[in-house]
Amino acid sequence: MKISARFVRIAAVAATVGLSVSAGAAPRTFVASYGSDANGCTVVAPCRSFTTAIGHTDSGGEVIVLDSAGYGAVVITQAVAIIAPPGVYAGISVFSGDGVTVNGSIYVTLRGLTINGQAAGTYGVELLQDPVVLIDGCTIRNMGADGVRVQTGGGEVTITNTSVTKSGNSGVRLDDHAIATIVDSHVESNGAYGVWLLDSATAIIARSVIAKNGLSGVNLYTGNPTTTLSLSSSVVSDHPAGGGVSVQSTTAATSAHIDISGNTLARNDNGIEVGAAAGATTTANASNNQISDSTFAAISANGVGSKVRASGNAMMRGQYGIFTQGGATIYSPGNNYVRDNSTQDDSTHTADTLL
Amino acid sequence: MSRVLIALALAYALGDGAFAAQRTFVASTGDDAHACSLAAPCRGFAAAILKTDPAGEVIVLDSAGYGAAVITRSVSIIAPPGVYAGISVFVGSGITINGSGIDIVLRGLAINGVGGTEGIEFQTGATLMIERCVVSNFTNNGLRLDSGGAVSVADSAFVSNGGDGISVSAPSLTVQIERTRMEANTANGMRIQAAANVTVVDSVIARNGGGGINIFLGGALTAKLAIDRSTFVDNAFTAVIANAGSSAGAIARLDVTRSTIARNGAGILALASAGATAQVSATNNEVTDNTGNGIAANGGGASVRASGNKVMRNTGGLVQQSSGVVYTPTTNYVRDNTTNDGGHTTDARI
Repeated sequence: MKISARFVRIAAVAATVGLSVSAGAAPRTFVASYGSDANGCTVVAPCRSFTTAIGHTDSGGEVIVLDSAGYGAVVITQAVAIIAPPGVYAGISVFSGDGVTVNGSIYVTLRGLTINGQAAGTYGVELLQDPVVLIDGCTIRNMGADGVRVQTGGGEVTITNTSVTKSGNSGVRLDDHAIATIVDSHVESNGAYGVWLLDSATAIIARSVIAKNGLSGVNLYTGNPTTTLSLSSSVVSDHPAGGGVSVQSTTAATSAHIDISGNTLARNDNGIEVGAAAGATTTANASNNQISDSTFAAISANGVGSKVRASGNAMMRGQYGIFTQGGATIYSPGNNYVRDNSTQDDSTHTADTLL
Repeated sequence: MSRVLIALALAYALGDGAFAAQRTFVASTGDDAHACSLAAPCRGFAAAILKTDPAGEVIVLDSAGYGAAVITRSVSIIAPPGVYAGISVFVGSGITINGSGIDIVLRGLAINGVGGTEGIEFQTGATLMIERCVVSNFTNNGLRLDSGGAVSVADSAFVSNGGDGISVSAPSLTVQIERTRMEANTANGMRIQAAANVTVVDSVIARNGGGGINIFLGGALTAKLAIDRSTFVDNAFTAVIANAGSSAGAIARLDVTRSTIARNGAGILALASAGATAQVSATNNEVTDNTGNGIAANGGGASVRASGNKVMRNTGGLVQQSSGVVYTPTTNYVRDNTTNDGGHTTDARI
């Protein structure tokens, strides 16, 4: 019994030593507060940092955090999952640059990390050159620029059970062709936008709270073909300096499409703000939202290319319920409840029918 | 070894005055004479906070009690899931936040009153985030917000306190509450008495000795409250009240949306004398089995816009009292109440 246990341990160590250092040593590696980066990152001899552990991990393998400590900023260029199970605090303090940089067309999971930027780091998680990244159960706070940034060149990020707060710029910024799914998450008190979508980015946001950001809760700014957003079952509140959701197609032949349904939009400048430059198109479907206490309008549309279909919304207590200008069209099939605004409807909405 | 000693000496030298570390640690095996490093953790929050850089973090390593603390600088106190980090409060407050412009995160704490007055008291500060905390058994409030600022609460519980679960009593507060229980408090689940902006979503407000959530204004203030997808059950008094009181210029604004309001003293109430304003929008709620009225407006300044609600088995369904007005665009299903229609005013949609 004793002999075989010792034999197994020796064999394991031998295997680790044999495979170590060169890339791709093991499908699963470990880090711990008591680890050393001179180790093989095994469960009996864990490493001390994420960076070293990834170097000992097979492509597509896992780095497991064994106990609570800080594990350092990391640049990831191979498929890997970094997993801190519930019960373990795994911190990354960022004094400059990124907390986690993911670079390349790889699949990466980040689970259970606390990334604190000290208001000095740049991005909490940065996606470069089209990776696919799952961020689950993480806390990203105090980044100097953005909490999560998908750079031009593509990238797909799924953010669940995560809070992104107090970034200097946006909570989540999605550049050209980025795709984001944000569910059950909290995006609050970031300097600019909660979620910012630029040219040809796509986002699905559900069951999340987006509040108290410096400008808009969610902003789409399209100067390139098509930007799309679906926002449902969420709260977007307290953006007096910007819209709850604001959309602008900025150049001719570009378009933005948004579906906003089942949300509470409270205490924003405009609840939903839709704009289109000459020759551009912005279409919005707003249904079953509670839109209240907007500084200006519950739904505001501007420009010939702006078209809003509003159905089943309650729009209460703003300066305007429905507001259109510049040739925009807001359609209503007669089932919006628009009351207690200084002006319910500036008389420019277009009656629509239900089948 | 000597390097460790030098590090320790340096940490001591930097100790209380200059800030020591971005991240400090506390453990059941710690000692407050330590530097609060991972290798040499401290024993209590108060000592660890003093050895933490501004905007740094205090991490709880294992389950124990870590003592009450007065926080005067920006810090996050973090107990990961699986670790019980308790604060037993024999007198005064569990966590007191008192520093101009500071940002505080409290994550994973169990704050229990055994004679203590307030669980968490936000006296002065900029932002406060409370996540996964349980605050119970205080003689007064679970969370008391006495300072303006931005507050968010998620996945927490305020239970069995002698006053309100959450008391909002300072102006210029913006408060977000998600997935939180306010339960079995002697007074209200939450009371808003100041010019605050509050959002409550996916929360449960149950079995409080007073009301569920109410706005209660004693002067010419404007308070705004939005509630979505929440559950109000078995509260002794009215589940949701916008009470602007009688001061001229007082404004209480309330949205209640997609919520279940059952078996309370009453359901939804707008209350304001003429000159004050209570404006309620009640949309797509289930309002059932309340002892008193389902949806009511009382007083010359009170109005409710009710749409898409199911109002069943209450004493009154829709009720207008003392010149209050309940508007309905005829989209509410109001049945099986002792009196279904206690007055309403038909309204239009566009």
